[in-house]
Amino acid sequence: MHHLLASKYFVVITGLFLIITIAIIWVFFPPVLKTFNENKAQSNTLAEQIKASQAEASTVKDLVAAKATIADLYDTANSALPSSPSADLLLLQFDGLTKSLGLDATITVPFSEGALAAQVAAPATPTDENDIKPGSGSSGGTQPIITSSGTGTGTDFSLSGEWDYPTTLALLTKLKTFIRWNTVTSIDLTKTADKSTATISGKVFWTPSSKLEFSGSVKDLLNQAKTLFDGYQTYAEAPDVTKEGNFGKSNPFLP
Amino acid sequence: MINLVPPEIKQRKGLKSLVYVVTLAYIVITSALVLGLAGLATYNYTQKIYLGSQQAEIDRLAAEKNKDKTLISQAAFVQSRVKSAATYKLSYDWNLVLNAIAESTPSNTHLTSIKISSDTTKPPTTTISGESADRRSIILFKDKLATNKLITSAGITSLTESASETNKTYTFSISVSIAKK
Repeated sequence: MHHLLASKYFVVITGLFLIITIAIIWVFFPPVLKTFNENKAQSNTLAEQIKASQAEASTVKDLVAAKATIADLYDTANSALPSSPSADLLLLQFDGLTKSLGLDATITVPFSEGALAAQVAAPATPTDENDIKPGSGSSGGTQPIITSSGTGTGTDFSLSGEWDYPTTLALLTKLKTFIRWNTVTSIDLTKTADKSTATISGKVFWTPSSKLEFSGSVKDLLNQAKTLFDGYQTYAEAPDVTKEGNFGKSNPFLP
Repeated sequence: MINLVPPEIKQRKGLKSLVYVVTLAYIVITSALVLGLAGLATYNYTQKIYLGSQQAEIDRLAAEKNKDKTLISQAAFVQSRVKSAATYKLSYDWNLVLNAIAESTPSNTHLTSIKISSDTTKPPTTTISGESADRRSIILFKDKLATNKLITSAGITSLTESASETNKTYTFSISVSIAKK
């Protein structure tokens, strides 16, 4: 070693070697290693994201294959438990329900202020006898009974008329399979010498929209939804102003 | 053979060879370090390109998903309704309750009203009113109601006698508690 240190060439080359090695280890390696580690972490994250995205893509593919069924189920689900009280459609549904039993009924549903204006206008311009006249032909009068719209996710309703016991039972049976999810909170059956009257009151439900995310298998969803909604019956379609009705009069005051 | 090379020269020669060997070792080590560095840098570069392609694939899949956003939100809506269906299940089957009342009504008794009221906080109360030809039938009616599994309790709340020219009738009210479905 002593002899080696005596060699000028050895000292220079060793010094050079040490400078280069230290430079490589201390200066060049750390950023490259840092990038390597970052890339590795990013690669893992992206791999997971791709896996999740591919699973989602597969789900979307299944959904697209069942597009028509999903759309039908959506309409049914929206009728069963809408995102808003949807009192106007509820009125049409109840009207259809009572008419399916051939009953004259007074239907009471609460309207919000906006919907109330629309509802009051609707029966003023009937075009034929099939037009919905809420409460028409009922023992309670020819106009819907309007109450203020309640808060929360339950909307009160009542159905009343001159119905006997078997008719009330039939109506209660129909309410069990009525498309709009409901609960009956009171029943009042009264029989006097000349007539029988019945009032069925209850709540229909709605739930405000929130950010919903689909998860799980499309096949399972379709099976569960079909099983659930097949038992329910709808009595009216939602009105579509783009597809129905005749509008426009030179004098809107003329009958 | 006699080695005539002087020991000093011999020693210098050995030293020179040792320096060469050490120098060679230095070169090998430095080369390895440089090659390692270059290898890592190259790997990082290719990895960067690969990550870019992966990101592009994720973006493509996201765009595809976004294209069917309405369909996905419809499916999510249906799913939320399926999940919450149990919450809205009926607590009471009123048809069964009304049938139970009808089946328990004595033949010489008729009802004038049935009033059922319930809310979510307390069990429903049912008040049955009617008329009967005798008191015994009213008590039997109450007892028959109490035997029904849908009814947890039944009690007479009023019983009055009203006499007409032809016959006597008894007006009554029975209060009934309903069992949950």
